[in-house]
Amino acid sequence: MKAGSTSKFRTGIMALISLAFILPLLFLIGTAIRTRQDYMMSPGGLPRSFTLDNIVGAWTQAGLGQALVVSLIVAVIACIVCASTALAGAFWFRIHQGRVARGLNVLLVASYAIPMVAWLIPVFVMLANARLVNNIVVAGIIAGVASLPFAIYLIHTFFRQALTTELLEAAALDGARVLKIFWYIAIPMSRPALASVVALVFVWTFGDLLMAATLLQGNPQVYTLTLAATTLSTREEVNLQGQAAAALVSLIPVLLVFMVAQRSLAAGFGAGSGK
Amino acid sequence: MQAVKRRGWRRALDGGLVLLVPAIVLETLVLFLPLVYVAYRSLYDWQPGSVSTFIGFKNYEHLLADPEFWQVIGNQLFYLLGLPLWVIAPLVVAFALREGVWRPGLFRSIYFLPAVMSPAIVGLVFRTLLATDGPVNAVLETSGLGFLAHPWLTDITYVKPVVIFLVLWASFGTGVLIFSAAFAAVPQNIFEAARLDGARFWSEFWHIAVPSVRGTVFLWAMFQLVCIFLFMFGWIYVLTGGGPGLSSATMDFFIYQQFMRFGFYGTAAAQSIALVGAIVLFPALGYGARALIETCFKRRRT
Repeated sequence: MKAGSTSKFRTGIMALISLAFILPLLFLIGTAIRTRQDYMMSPGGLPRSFTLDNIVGAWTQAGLGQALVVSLIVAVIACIVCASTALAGAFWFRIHQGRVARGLNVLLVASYAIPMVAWLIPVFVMLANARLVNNIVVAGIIAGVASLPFAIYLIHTFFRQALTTELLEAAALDGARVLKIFWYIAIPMSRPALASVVALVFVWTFGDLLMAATLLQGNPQVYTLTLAATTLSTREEVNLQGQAAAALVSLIPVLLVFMVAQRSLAAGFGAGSGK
Repeated sequence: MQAVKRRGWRRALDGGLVLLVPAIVLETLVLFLPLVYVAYRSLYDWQPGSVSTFIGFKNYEHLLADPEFWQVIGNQLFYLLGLPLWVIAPLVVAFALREGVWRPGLFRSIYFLPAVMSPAIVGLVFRTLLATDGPVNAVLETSGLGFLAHPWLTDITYVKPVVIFLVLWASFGTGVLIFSAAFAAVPQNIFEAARLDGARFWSEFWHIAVPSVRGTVFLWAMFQLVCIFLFMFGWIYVLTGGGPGLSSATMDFFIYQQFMRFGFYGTAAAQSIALVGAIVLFPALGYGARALIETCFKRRRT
């Protein structure tokens, strides 16, 4: 094949693969907007009816409106906690490269591999003793810390490339001290890395089930959207259309984030993978 | 001169520890201390909220004698069979997307969609799609492929392979993205040179593309390896509930159930420690295997 030309065969295969990702979404939308009878007639066929009753029903029955607010609060708290802490920590690791600093860096990043169940269960027990379960602020903070190892890694990778030694030297010669450099140089320049972290932490926290099912399961008033949608699906009186509607509603926010922040998300995953 | 200057900025920027303290405090409180606490409590007949008695390694003994525990370990090992698929599929596609494809960025974005969607929610969709009387089987029946219709999620033979393919579905786009970034960093002239020598797609792929990004291939394989132990809860909880029986349960799902549902706190703690062990052991084996392969290759070359 000549460089620069496009191949219909190759493009066709790629389009075929993308069906695997588009069809489930279309099915979800199709199921949510058709009537029950229509679905029972041909579950694999195209919808022949249109109704918004399922979505309205799921919204009112399962309290998805409130769950959406809870999810947003938890995700925003997680983003703030995670991004600010990781930014400061990663900057410190950029300017300190001794043996101790490196060891600490490895420790704080490798904690990514501590299984969530392993730390979540004792956290749950301790929070239960302190009567802090079913508290969305606490859940948000903990969700933020859960993403902290990855965020530190990502921002540190960014600083190693962008915050060059020359830049630090120049700033130090001008007499700037650590906090000043952090505030006036590091924070303004970190926007792209910060955008990646915020986008990733948002979608992870928003979609998380394990933390929500552990820390917020005691009170339906503080169910997140994911928790509400999945509990709805296990209630027998709720039909498939209602479940699909709930699932659809809970996917819309992350799909919006995906469209707006697509590039940051992709950059976040691509970070440090060049080698 | 340079050295003095360097030491100069280091000294000037000494301190600022206050920047690191929040990260250390938060990770210690939420991740490290709880892990230590679980290790400590795994030696007890742990009864949160009441009196726990020290029982030494009884929880571990009980665990090792428990056939359900070994079944879950077996499930995890079975899922690891998917590893070549999870690595090679995105690698081939990322390679093919390099050129000759109309709007490769669009395809990369579409493949990446699952990375932002909640496993639990997507699990709901697939549970419906793959139900015995669900759309997938219905389509197979009406198109004359009824012999291919199976009870995908309720049959012991099919449920694990189905999970392997769903993990592929979920991680594929991220893999494509990471491998695309790796290919972009490879000097393009080695591909051109190979093509002048008459290399076709597959030989170019195996002999040039894969070796030139083998570091990324290895890291991605390790990442997937860890993920299959770490992040399966949402999928399993919604998709199969670990069933039929325990035939699709992963360790994280099993631990959650033991703790939150059945109240076997001590054994759940011992299992958590076993899971930590698995997460240390398997990547260590991976690194060992890589070192072994590389020494073999070097010996053959000389």
